[in-house]
Amino acid sequence: MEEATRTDGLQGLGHLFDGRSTQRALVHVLLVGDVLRVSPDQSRSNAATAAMPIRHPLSQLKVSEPFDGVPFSVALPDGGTLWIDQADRPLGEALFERTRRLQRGVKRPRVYRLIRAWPAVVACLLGTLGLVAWYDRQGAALAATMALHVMPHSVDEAVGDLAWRTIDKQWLTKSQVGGQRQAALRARFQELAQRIEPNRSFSLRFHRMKPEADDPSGTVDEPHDHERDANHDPERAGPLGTPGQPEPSRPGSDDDGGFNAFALPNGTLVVLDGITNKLSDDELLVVLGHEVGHVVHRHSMKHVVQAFSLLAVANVMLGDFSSVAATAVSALQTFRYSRDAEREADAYGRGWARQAGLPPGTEAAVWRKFKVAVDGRGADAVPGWLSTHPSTDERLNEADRLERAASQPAAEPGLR
Amino acid sequence: MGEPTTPAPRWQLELEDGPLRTELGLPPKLAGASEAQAPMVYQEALRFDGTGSAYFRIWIVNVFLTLCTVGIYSAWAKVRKARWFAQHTSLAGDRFDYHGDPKRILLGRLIALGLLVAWSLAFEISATAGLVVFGTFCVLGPLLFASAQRFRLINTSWRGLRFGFDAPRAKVYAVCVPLLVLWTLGSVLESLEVSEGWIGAASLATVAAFPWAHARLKHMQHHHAHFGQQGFRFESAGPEFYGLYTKAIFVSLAGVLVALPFFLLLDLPGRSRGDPGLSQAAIVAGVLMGALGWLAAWPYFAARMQQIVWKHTKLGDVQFEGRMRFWPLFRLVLGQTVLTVLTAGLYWPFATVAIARYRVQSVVVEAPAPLGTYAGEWQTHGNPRAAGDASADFFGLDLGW
Repeated sequence: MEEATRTDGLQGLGHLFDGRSTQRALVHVLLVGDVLRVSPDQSRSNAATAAMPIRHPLSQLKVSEPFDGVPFSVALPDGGTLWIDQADRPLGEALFERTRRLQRGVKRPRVYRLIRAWPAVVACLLGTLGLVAWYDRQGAALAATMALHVMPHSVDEAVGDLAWRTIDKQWLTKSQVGGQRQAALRARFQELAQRIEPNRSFSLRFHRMKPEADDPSGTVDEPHDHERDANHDPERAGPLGTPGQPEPSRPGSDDDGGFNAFALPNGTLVVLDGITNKLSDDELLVVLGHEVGHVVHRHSMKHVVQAFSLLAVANVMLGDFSSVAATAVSALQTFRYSRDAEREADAYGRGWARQAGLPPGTEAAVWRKFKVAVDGRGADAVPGWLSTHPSTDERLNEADRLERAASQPAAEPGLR
Repeated sequence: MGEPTTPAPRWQLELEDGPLRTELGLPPKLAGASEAQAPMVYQEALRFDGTGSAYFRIWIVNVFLTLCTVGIYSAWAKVRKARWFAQHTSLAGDRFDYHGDPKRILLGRLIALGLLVAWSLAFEISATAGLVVFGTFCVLGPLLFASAQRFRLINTSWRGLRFGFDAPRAKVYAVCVPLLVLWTLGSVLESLEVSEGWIGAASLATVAAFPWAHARLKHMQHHHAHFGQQGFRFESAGPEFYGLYTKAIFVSLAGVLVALPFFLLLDLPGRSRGDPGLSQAAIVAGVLMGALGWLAAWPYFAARMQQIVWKHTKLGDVQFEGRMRFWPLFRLVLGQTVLTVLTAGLYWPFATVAIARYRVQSVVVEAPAPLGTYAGEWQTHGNPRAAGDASADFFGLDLGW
């Protein structure tokens, strides 16, 4: 054991396993330069250690970073494993750093140091919080926009076509709105659409919801949810249909055919009889502008991409504790993105109303009618953070505010 | 090398002396007059000695690097995490180890991601595309599942000896394809737009057959595992799986029944005003109760499942016992969840460690002889390096998250 006394070597005790049996041998370990020398512990030589000492060049060892409070495991080239006692920590660390330097040219293993230094850990924590906050505010939308650049419009078409087949078959029936009004509305809408979005084609359809008796799922209170559950176009339920909000049908009166309108990604716009009957043609054009906004901004596809990327981030953060919690957190976030999408579509609809030359106050009138239609029914029953749409009050206030701002353009010249 | 410093369990105190003490530091059992008929059993519980603060540092560095690299680092993060958990788990004084290659894990994740994206989009595009992807799933899925199981076990070792997994391909298909069909039957039928009667019948069939499929899956996972050259055995446990699933359904129903009066009470003010819609308070309460119900059902299921699975697993004449119990697990999960919510998620790694400790330490190994005497039975004669290299074939991929 003369080497053990040399001052330039680090030494310690370890357990050796040969990889063939669970038999353990107590060994003495010495690190000198780039060689690890394993020799039997003097007190307990046995058959397993007969061939010793063995010298292992560090270039042939496989090491992973040591953890605090645990022996350091080294994979030997013959398939054996050497566990260096945690009491001999300096030996383990030197062995790890020297091997890394020799094999990968790494001067100081960075991640290993990161984990062991609390200031660095706090920096990582702050960095993570910053990244997540940024991703939540901007990153997810940015990623979705970039993904949409790559995704061809034919995907939107295909998704819309498929969704339409399901929705048409399961939820819709023939409209009772007069053919003349339908034709007039369609002509006005198509003329506008040609002018504002010349590169796209839209088809406007009038329908009514099937009577509740045909409702397969049986939850008679909430017909609007079925569009969402149709599995194909769950996210765009029009400007008015807050999910879970009941149909404004008074007891005793006939079913009004559905107070809602929605758009599919293939450019199909559907207005239900309830809303067609209660709104004027001008007001309906505002609603249609909003729906066209959903299609033009590709909100359906964006929603899918955002939901997917959010789920991924949530799973990185929380997945090892509970994937259910991760899913819940990301679902709540997608509700917020959905509200943002509604605001974006509202803004688009306003531009559309301006270009159509609709009289001022038309949009506000829509929201007031919506409030009347819904308020008697316990409006905004869904808490804001659980809703896919902004509250009607918020949308009405926004419309009023912009109306006022537009009527006195000189007052705030710097705003636009 | 540090032997465990826990107070000696009762059986250790009872077993004062004997020739085998040198092997494990444990004396043989003296057959006392009152226990003359009882067979000798050596019990050894798994130990877990990782701390929350140590795991917190690993977790936050892993998360940060994973986010910075758009997920690519997650493979390296997983290896670090798996090594940390394995090296803090010990049996009879010796620690487990994990040897997974991050590059294989990354490859496996890319493949899994591709399949997931294909699956979620296929039926949106067309029914044919959906069926093609479904077919691919049925052909590739079982192989990939078996490969992940193999990767996990072959890269885990205790006392330098690797575990392993070798299920015949036919068996893998026979077990996995029915499970896959049951799992996806509902959504596939819905996408094909068949009548609702059929979908209802399919859902019923799924509920009825799922415990059976799950029992077969566990059987495959445990029956074809081995440690060194000794294979594990798993006695079929179908009836107990049915019992557990039935009870779990009743437990969740009981949870709903307990929660319902509170829910209705909260909704009452809205109803009296004539609002047919649900009040905000009722909705929030409903969500909370759903979460509580899940918190109750999950520990019950997990604890019973661990007991059943380990009871049926054997390694030669070595047996196992799962000692996880519903009530301690429930209290633990509830407390850890509350702390996690209160700290906006920062307690997460501490909770993970606390729950892992309970789960690991509730597994007890029971053998008629001290574990040290099994070295000959478990020993392999092949080249120990081959085990590590074998995990690098095409199907040596890890897919799990």
